[in-house]
Amino acid sequence: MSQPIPQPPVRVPRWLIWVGSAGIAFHLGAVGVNMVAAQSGPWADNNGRPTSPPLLALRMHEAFGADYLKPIRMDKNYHVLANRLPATPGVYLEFRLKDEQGYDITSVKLPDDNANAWVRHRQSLLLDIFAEDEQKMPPQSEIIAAPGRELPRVQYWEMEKGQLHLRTVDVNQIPRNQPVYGPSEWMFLFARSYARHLCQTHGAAKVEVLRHHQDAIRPYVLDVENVPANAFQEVISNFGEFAP
Amino acid sequence: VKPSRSDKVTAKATPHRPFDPPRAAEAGAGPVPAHRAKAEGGLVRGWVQFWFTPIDPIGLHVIRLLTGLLVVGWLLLTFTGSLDSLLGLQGWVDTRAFGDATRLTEALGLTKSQAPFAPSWSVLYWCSTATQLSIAFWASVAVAVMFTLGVCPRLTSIMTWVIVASFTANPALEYEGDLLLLILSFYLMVGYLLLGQRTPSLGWAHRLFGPLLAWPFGRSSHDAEVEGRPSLAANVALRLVQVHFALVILSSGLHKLQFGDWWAGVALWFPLHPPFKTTLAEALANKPYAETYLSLLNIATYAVLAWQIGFPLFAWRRRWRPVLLGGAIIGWIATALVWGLPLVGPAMLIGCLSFVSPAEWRWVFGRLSRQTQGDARTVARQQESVSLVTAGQR
Repeated sequence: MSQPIPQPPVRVPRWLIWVGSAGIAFHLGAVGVNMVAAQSGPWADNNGRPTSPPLLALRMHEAFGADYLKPIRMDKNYHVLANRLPATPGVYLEFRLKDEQGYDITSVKLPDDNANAWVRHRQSLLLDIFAEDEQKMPPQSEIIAAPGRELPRVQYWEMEKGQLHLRTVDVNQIPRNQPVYGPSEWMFLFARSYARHLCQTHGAAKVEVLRHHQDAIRPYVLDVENVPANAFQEVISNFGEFAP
Repeated sequence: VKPSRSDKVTAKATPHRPFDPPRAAEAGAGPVPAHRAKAEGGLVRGWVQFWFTPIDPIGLHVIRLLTGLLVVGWLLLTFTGSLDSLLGLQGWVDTRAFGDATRLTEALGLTKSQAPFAPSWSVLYWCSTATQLSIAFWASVAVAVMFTLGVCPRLTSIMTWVIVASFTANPALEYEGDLLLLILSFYLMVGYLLLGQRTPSLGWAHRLFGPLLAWPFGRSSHDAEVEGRPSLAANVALRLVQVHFALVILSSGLHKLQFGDWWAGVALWFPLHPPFKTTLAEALANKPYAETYLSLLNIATYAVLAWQIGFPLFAWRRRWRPVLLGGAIIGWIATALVWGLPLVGPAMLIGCLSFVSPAEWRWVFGRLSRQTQGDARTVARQQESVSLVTAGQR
């Protein structure tokens, strides 16, 4: 490595310092405000809603930061998913590919154990959306459909033969005696998309999608005398069959 | 008129820096030497010194080399063989899913920032066939290799940022490590766009396209003049990387405090005992020494928090370099082996290496150079003695 050529001291023009300072302050200010404007914590406010971000930061971000940061791809607030480690259950998807007669062709697992670490990691990112179901809330009072319209329908999980199956009802029939959970629309969107991809690459007619789910193993297993049987239980949820 | 005592003191040349008497003509709109800014007050002086002191651009070149290597590795290891699946129009997330996501976002009344699926711009959207996508991919790899080697860095740095942004545009596959790669490539682009622009003798072609070859292969007299000259652009680019990384690490550290398991010191238990891979017997194997095990996990968890939250306090201090770089290396090993995250560790280490000063880089390369020369001399001596022995035997 050669030594640098000796140079006379470099003088920085005053205008450059002013312009540069303004640019730096704007850019890093936008990044900093975006970080502060993030939603706080897993805790709720007095009304049970998620705590809202600081209003001033949010307004400043919306006013000038968002439109600047989005095109340069720095619009994330760095409240990364990896920080929520304990809340992340284990999930993998199983796609059972079938021909037109309904016979099994093959089965594909996501993430694929045989893929390299980089690809497997990308596959696991797709599964983030499948980690947590939504609670399906019944309406406060009975809803009556408008003339010529149908009542909104809801899908929730119901245990049947050791697997969770989807039960579709109208909103008035959501059970009120116990909380019920169901998949989000986003889960269906990705499940359908991946199923279409597999049908095309494997020449299958339809795909049955199963989600394997296990809650995070908590450190209390080291303290208690008898570990609850369901602490290591795997739950399978059947999303049904999708055709392209 | 007898000059005041204070004038006499300030007019005395100090042994630490060359004496530069103040000139009235330059005090206004003229150029301001960085060290003159010291006289302008604490905060302003600190700001000007921090951002506007031209430095040896060696640090910028090293960060470029390392980032380039990471981008090339990331492209090849992630997308080779999975290009259509990850980015193709009929891939894991196909065009129909993009349309459905837009409709669903509208139907649910979500803003773009609230939607879990908000696509961004990408030049790869222009590739409508697998062949076009493949050509775009291999062209991107070639550009990233050129950027790594320092070929036309003014152009290849822009293209590399566009490549990184385009290959990370799919929100379904978005990952936090990608953000670090975007930060590095963006500020390197800023640095190389401005590098050497204030060199007086620069021709328009050089000013527009930059040097043909930058460090470590740039050796022409013109490039040497640009490279040897202290650079304001190099300092600004590296300072932007440093401050942005400090914000990211601090923000991530504070975000961890929103979760009880980090406060309880058991957060690292979860990646060490992931669901599906941990059996009851394996978990209970730690039971005989549970207290020691959990205490060690406590220490490790709090060390992570301390490193992240204290990052801005030690990152710029030279004495704390072992803590800065040691923490980054341990973080790399942990994120790769325990979490299975291949990209975030090396990107974080490169970000931490941006804090290393040009003098420290020169020292490192000087040591490496002396060692290489020493090894070469030893080999030459050994070869000489072998040939002498052989000649003697004859």
